[in-house]
Amino acid sequence: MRSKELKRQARFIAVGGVAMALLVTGCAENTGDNGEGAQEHEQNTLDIIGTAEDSVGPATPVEGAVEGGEITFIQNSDMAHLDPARNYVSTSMMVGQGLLYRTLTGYREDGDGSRKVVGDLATDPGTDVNGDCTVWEYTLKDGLKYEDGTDITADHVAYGISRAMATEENDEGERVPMYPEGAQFLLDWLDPANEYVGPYEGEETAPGIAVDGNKITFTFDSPRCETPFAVAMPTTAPIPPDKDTKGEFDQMPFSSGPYKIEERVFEERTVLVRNEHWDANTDPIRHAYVDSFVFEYGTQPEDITTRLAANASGDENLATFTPVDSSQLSNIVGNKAEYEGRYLEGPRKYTSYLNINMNRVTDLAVRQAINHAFNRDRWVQVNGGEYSVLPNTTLMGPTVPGYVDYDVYPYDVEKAKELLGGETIQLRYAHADTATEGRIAAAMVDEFAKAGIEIEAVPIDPLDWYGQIADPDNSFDLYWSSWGEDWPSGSTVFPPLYHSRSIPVENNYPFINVPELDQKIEDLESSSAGFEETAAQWGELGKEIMEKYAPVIPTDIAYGVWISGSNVGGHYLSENISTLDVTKLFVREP
Amino acid sequence: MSDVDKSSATPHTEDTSGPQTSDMPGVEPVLVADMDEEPTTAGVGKPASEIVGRSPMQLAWLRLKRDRTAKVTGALIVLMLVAAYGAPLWALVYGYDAYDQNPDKLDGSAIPLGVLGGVSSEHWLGVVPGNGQDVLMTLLYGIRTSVSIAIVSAIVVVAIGAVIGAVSGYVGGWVDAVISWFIDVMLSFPFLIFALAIVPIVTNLILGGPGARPLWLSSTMLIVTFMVFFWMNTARLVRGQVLSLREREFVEAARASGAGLGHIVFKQLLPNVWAPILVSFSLMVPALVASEAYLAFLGIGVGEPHPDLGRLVSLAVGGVKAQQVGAWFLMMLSGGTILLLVLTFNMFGDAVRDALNPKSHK
Repeated sequence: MRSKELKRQARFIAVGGVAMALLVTGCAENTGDNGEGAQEHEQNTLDIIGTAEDSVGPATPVEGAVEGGEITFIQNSDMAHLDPARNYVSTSMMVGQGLLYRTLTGYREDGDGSRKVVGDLATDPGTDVNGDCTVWEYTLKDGLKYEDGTDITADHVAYGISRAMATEENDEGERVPMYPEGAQFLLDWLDPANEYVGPYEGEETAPGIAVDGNKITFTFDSPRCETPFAVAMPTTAPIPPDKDTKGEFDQMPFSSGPYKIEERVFEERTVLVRNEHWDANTDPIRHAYVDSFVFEYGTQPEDITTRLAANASGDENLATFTPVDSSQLSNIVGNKAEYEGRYLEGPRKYTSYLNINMNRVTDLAVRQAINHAFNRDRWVQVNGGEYSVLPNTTLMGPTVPGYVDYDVYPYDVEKAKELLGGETIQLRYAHADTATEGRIAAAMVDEFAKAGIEIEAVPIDPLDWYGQIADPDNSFDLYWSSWGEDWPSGSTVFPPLYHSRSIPVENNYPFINVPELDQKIEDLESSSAGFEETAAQWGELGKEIMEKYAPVIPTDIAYGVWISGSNVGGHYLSENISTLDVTKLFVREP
Repeated sequence: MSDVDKSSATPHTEDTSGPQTSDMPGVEPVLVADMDEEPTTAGVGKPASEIVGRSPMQLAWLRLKRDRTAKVTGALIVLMLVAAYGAPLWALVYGYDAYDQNPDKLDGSAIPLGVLGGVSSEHWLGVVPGNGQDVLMTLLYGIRTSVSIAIVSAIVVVAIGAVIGAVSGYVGGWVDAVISWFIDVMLSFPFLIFALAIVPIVTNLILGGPGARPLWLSSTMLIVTFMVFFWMNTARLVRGQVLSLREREFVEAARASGAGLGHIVFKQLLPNVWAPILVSFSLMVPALVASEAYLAFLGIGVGEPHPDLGRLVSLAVGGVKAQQVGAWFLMMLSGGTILLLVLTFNMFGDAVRDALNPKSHK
């Protein structure tokens, strides 16, 4: 999943509260001791595809949970998209899939660190009919209902997918997607040639989909062994054709999940109340402890943290998806005990890289030298410490099964100098034009200089970050980007990041273009060997890419810390979405 | 502030000796008694040589020299400038300059180790969070940046204001109307919003796309920004003075002998309004020091890695809000340095004004 927003944005600083802070701070000494330190990610098991038994509801209860009450989420801005065909941003996916609609499969997280893809609407994660991953069959459970009490059918699932592929004619007479923002994997597999025009003007059902009673079958022209994951994306949410309001569906999706929209004022507030027709016994993933969820928008990240930390009277039922603002991070984690019961922390799935522009830095030895000269400890320090980012040396992060731990180019200034043959080189390092990024850039200038690499720090507009660096003709040598996998497999890491077809439309920011590598990626993508076997191969491929091409410097894994009001219980870090798991929350004293 | 008037027993004579219409001193050289000496009944038993001619500049200088505020603030300014401009030299003795990063003096989250933001025998005032530069050196280099930009800007601003004001006041008619209207427009322009919006865009235009911002460029951008937005008050002041001068005989004489606009403005009018111009300048410097600091606070100033006081305050305030250990000390230091700079320049400016215009009330 794309982490489109630049995580470190300019911070505007208000002077309020300074006097009070002065009083509490006093003349303490900073010993640098931060308690036990951040948590490492637990190695991920390959056993991630669940069974039909796992797919039976209800979900494993959350300890101490009680029913009732209301939780209010405070956020900076409204959900990016709620239409399942367009929903592809983490917090929107958490609200959409956690509360409003169900999909063919989903991720069952029992609260003990385990994660399994199980049947959600379907009875199991999918049946590979021919054993070669080309035909997948799903059977819908009984007793599935929408918010108005009508039945959810396989036809509606097929319509939802077909609708996501709808196209329209633009001013130049070309056919363009109507809902381009959503996840495209399943859609591309079903219609690789992009010939289907969508249900509004063409066939009601997309090619490759067949419906028979409560069964839906997908037929692909090459093996797609990761179909159980692909159909867990929001695009397989059921939509009855007569409820399809097209553009307006984004504001008011028709609910098949445990909650429905009662009130929605865009960028102001959204109120969700129970969907009485949702049956917990059909749902292995979701809980519905809380009577209603309210989302209020317009609070700055810094103020969200301040308000939640204060936990004032009347604010005990507040929660947020926004991690603790970096400006207040050291204070919150330094006083964890104060936030007991309303504190959550853990590594997230977003891995960050400093891309080396291979159109400009063409010499492998130079790219290797840059890697050796990168002081990762300093990077973590100047980025705010291990509660902001954890050091990482791999292309595929530890949240992905098949993760291989390697450090191909450990920090070694002498080695870097040797690779450069004693010469000095100049590099242009692009960074967002903010105070924080400016300091990080200054640190990089200092560090790389030790190996004879002169860094020219170039500030660029943070709002146009990806627009600038995605241009293959850009004038920079080093620049940051971040990526989180769509589902726990290398197939959603390597193709979008290192295949030449992802220049410039996807996220291949080092512009690596090696036919041999493209071939390897394609082979793994269409391998019929099954998930467990390919998972490990993806991990190894990452190491090979670093050894042979060194297209990026892997820098870090994002780390998140969340707090909420004291009356909110059930904090859990969803591995799938990598944020506060909304389905497990409850109100302690409703 | 100044005690010139109280200490001199003699009534001032310079203002009554000339046909002044305004309260502005020193339009033309006049003869006065030597104010350094006890007033005497002129001429009785004394050689005539005791009556010396003094220019208004000399008179003002004498008044300034006897002003205690001027002496104290002047000394402070000299001290700060010597410390600031000599900073690279002090750095040789001290061991660190403002560009040296000391990440080993910071904890894992880049916050200074130890008390008061890392105060130690090595770093007398601690180190800066993030990259661990020495605070003392950052302050000295910061003063240098700030004062250099302020003084250069003030010279440019006052020069432009004076010329526009003089032309407007002398030519009159529709030119004066247009300039006055333009001044009104510029005064109502939202300076901060404009600066925040335009400076980064113009900088990129000059660089021809994204590029590193050298110190000279960011400084020039600030100077140009101040040039555009700070000339109006000087222009108004000078225009007012010129209005009262333009009908005077020496101007008419110049005009009658066929002098052009340039000659009259630069040779006849401006030399006679140097006093308000000087006052304008001396009060412009602290105003620009403060402006430079708050632009830097908001993120447009000289960028990393160049030391800057406003940016340091911004960093410290962030630290205080986050309740970082010792951040308040950095905030006091950086804020205090700006306060001291602005205050001393302001008080010195006031003293200059008093010296040039003894009739002004304090």
